[in-house]
Amino acid sequence: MLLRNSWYLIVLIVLMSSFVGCYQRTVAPALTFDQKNAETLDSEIKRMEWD
Amino acid sequence: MTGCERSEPPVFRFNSVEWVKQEKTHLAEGEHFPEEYKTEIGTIMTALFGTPDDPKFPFFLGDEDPAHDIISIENLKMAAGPTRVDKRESASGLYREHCAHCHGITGNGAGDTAASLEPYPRDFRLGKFKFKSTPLRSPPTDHDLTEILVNGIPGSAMPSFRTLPKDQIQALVEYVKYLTMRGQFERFLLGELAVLDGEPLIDLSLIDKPEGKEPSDDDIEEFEDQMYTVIGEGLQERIIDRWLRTERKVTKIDPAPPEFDINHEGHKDFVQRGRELFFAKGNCMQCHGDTGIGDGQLNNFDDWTNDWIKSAEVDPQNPESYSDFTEVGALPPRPVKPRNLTRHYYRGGDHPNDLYLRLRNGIEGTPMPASTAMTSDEIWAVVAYVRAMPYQDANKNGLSKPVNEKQVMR
Repeated sequence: MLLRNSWYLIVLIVLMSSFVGCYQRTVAPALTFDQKNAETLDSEIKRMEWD
Repeated sequence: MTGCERSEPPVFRFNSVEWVKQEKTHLAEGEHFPEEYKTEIGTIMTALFGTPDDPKFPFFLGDEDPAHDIISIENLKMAAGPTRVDKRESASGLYREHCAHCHGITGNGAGDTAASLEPYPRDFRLGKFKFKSTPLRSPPTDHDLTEILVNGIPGSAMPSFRTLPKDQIQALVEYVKYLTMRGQFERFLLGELAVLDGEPLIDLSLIDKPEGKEPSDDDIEEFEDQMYTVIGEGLQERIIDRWLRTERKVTKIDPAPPEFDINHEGHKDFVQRGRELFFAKGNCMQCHGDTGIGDGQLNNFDDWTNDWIKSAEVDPQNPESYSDFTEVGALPPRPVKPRNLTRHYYRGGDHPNDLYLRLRNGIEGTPMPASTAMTSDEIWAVVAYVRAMPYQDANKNGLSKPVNEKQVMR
């Protein structure tokens, strides 16, 4: 009985944590960027003379 | 989170709340900014600040640039990346180990546990910090951030990290500054969208010509102008320079008068003077309540919430009116509670100097104002009264009632 309840508990925790994880990963969109442009911009930033 | 797949490396989140706010502020109902701006902002942010696993700080001004004093790339690498301890026992991934579950990978105060915490974890991206030694609108010093990490914030979920070695604390302090500046810059870029009228922030096509074609001098000049406006003015002048200047802005704490000493014969009168100031000149009871239990003004919001609820004129009582924001990650608004001063815990520290600074400078991002009209002796008197509050029985000697206002005002 105790063993079976423990399993329920473990399954519940796993389900809840995956739910929380999925929720947090879907509400706010990831930053999208263009890798090639980011590299071009990076080299331009380094090339320019800033004062 | 579950399963055996190798998980994707974490990414910074786009500030969609600010995006929606800017749309609601500047565009007509139902209009939207072009989606391409999201990618463009992401590209500029990535070029300047890198990714959570490979952070960069724009030292584009050369090795001698004073920006090196704010953030060192070694410390960034120590705090960033996945959690691990290598063979030499020098830690890395400190931020993800200790901070990200509440403050989020992006420092947006929306980590996995955030929604269940009261108060919500700090969103660094506004660039505002409550407990610091500098005046309003000035960033905190390294020392201020270190104090928060070492002591935690009593009465909130922020724990103390006193057991961490000093170099790790410093790495986390610098990483928090990095996330803050990154967030401030992203907000700056989003704020520019309204005036761009569909044009790109930085038009790479000006210099990135097809094979065999060279950009004209005019194109190069135009491109460099855009770079100076966005990066030179937006990032360097508005953000990095302010962080650089902040050490010089630390508020000087005038020494407390002798009556502040609890053994001084005039201490009781000094506390009484503080009490009168609490009710009259300081007007502290308006929020903290007559008895200091924090039951005065209860329907204010802090700046992190006001930032979007005011601009979009949403009703904080009506979840439907702000669903556009909560759908993209904003946490439901909660009123900010004035401190209960009778319980002897203060979020910004319980040293008299801490309380002096809270009164002198106010608490940034909250309705607690700076006491510019009070002399330092008057502030010390209020500090003495506030420190005496937990030990007085509010129901004795009429202390629960406000003092006669006319008598105090004369």
